[in-house]
Amino acid sequence: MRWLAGRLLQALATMAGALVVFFLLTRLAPGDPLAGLTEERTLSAEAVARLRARYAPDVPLPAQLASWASGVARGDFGTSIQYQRPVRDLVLERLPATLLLGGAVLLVNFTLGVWLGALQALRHGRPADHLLGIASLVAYSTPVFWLGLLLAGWFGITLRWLPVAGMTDPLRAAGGWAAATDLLRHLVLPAATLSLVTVGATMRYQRAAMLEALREPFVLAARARGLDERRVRRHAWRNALSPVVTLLGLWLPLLVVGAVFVERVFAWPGLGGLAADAAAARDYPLLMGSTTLATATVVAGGVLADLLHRWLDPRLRDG
Amino acid sequence: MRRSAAARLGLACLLLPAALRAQATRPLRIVISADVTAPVPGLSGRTDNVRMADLLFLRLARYAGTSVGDRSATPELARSWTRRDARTLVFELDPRARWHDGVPVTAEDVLFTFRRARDPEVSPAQAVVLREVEEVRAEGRHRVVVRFRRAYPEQLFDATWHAPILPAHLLAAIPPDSLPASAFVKAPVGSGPYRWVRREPGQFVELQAVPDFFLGRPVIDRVVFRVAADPSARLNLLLAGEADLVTEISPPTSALGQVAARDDLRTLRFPTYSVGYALFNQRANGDTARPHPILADPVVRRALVLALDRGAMLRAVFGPYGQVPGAPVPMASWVRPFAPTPDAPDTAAARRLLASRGWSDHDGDGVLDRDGTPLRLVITGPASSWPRVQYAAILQEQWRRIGVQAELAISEGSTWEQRRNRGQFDVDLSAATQDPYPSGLVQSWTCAGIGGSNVARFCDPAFDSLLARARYAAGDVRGAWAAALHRLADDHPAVFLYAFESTAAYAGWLAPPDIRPESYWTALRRWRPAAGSGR
Repeated sequence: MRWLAGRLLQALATMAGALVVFFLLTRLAPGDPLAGLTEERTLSAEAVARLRARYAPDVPLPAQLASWASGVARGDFGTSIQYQRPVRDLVLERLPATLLLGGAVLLVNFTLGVWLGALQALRHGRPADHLLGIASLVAYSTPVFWLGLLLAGWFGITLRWLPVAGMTDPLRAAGGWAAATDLLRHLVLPAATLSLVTVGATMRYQRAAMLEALREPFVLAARARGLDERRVRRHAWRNALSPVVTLLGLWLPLLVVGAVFVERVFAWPGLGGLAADAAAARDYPLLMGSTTLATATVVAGGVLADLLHRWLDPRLRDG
Repeated sequence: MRRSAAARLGLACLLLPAALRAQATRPLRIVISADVTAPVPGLSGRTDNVRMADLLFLRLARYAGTSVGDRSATPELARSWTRRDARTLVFELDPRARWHDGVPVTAEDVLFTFRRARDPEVSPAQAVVLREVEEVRAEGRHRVVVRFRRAYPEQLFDATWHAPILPAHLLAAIPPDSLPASAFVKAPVGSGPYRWVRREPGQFVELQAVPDFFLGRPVIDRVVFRVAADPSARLNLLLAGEADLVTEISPPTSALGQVAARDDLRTLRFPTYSVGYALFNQRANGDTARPHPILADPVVRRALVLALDRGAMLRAVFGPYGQVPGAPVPMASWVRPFAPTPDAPDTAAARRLLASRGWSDHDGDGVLDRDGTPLRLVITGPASSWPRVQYAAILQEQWRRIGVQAELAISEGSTWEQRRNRGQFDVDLSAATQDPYPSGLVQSWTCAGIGGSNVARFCDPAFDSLLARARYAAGDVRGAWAAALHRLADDHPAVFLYAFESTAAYAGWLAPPDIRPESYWTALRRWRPAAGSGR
């Protein structure tokens, strides 16, 4: 319990530090938060001056940071410059779509990817290992944008099996079994695209870890004692999970903003596209809102990975 | 007899539902490029918010964009308008007009709208364009009097275009600062032909026709605006049959080939209010206190324009979808016929002009120089604009042929905009989407616009004077506009590169839609299924 309290405190300090650094970096980086408001619009000097006073006031950075932090403490992340809506609303609106896509991808990665990686290790040097190795490498090195367009063109336009874009069919009534099926049908292509290009990494991690575990003395000892091969593999696999758990912690932010390209290709209404737009437009309030969420996920991912490590490895608990 | 009547009644009961079904049209699915987050007039400048607001909220009258004066608009909330004197317009509101919650539209709504729009603290951009409005007052429930500070032909446009009318009974209690977070923004109550039904964040907005809309019931009952930021995703929705209309199929125009290959899809070209130009900085790059060492000379600017084959550039980038303008006048503008013809390319004349100002290749390195200074220019532009990136490369190559060394500085949008606003460029690839009335030229090309949209700090008092005459002259102002535009073109403050047409692709069940260049969806209530489509 003391360990957990200390770890959470450390996580909070990390998050606060990261946000302060990010706040300063966004302000110091080139770019104009009024860009989205002034480009291609003919505005008078007076109008520009008033817009600047409203959205980019000439206030020292520490004062801006203090103002932002006090807002966050009250649960107020400000109003988006370009969307003219409270940042909190915009982020929360997009969160369910992000969690659904990210969750589906992580699920595929850490079930199918782990299983295939372990299978490769168990078939080490055989054709199945080579075939899966090549397939995972090809998938890992495929540009996600290109793959998305390919799948959308094939399954959405040519075969018309699956929807090409969006999260739901706007003409379908909300609720019920049909709506759930519709949602799943829309999820297939974006989730498959993102899973295909990321599962390779999980497979390779798991394969390497499993091979290493299978060479450990305890595996040899277990076999020498005549233990059933399935039990031996299970012991080895539990030990091989550690690096994959680290990977899970690192990939948790994928849930939040890691799917920008896939969101674009499939018009998936997630946070990635929103954050990318905010960064491009220097929409500081929205950028800080989405960054706060992303930072929280990264930090939470680290804490979760540490917790899982302790659960998987008794030596860490005892130590 | 009784049996026959009963049989007829029975038949009518059987046929009635079928007849009603036949009247209901298929829902229309339009793809737009950005989420509609705040479709309330004056709140957000994002294009899709503005277009949606224009559909939901009517104006006093709709400027047709084809002429100037008191007959240049069609009635909306005002059924008629008369002139009390040269500075006063009187609008008679249509008593049939209703907000979507059933409350009648009254003069109080108009007064409330103008109060907010003219308050520079609340609406900085609107307040400036409404500065000629001196007073707005009501005379009874359905008459509004707008008094201007001076007499000028643009009065009707100013009174109607800049301020779509807002419902005072719903908004008066909401402080302007609280509006973005209000329930009204999430479900706006307007006065237009379609009412708000729902918004799925980042996915779509659904609207329903107002059955008793006072200007006539819309033909299509239900409209869904689907959101897809990526051009490929937008086109995919149409090709997959998941959408019925996609606008702005922008270059590269190869996307149109995919549409043309399909029998069930059609295309439509329509003019826009957008123009693109390579802006010559009148002040030194990064130092607005000094004149530009090269581009402050109008003869050099003219030479740089003559060196370019703008027709070839346009064909390379936009294909057949646009024209080379002789002045910053878009294709949809009514003053376009009065704009000068663009200069024909003449590289020999360009070389002669440069030589006459001392620019020659003295050291034989292929780059013109004067007093040891090479004729080197930095072209800036946004990486997010594919046409402008293409134009930058072609400009560089065409100027190289006459010995001008151009360096490209293409950067991401926000950084580019910052550099541009600070005057950190020699030649900037700019674009502007203008209002239907050409008075927006004031902001971009007059001395008064410096500090605002006139980032090149171009200042020609003679042009300012001609433009003022065109804006404020009485009677036929066409000659005055022609004189102003010719003066501007003769000064060569920029290379005017393109005024482009946009292209929409739509499903064959729809009759050719009337997409209005000033705001795409404002004629939506008259869109209908194609004859014989059975929908």
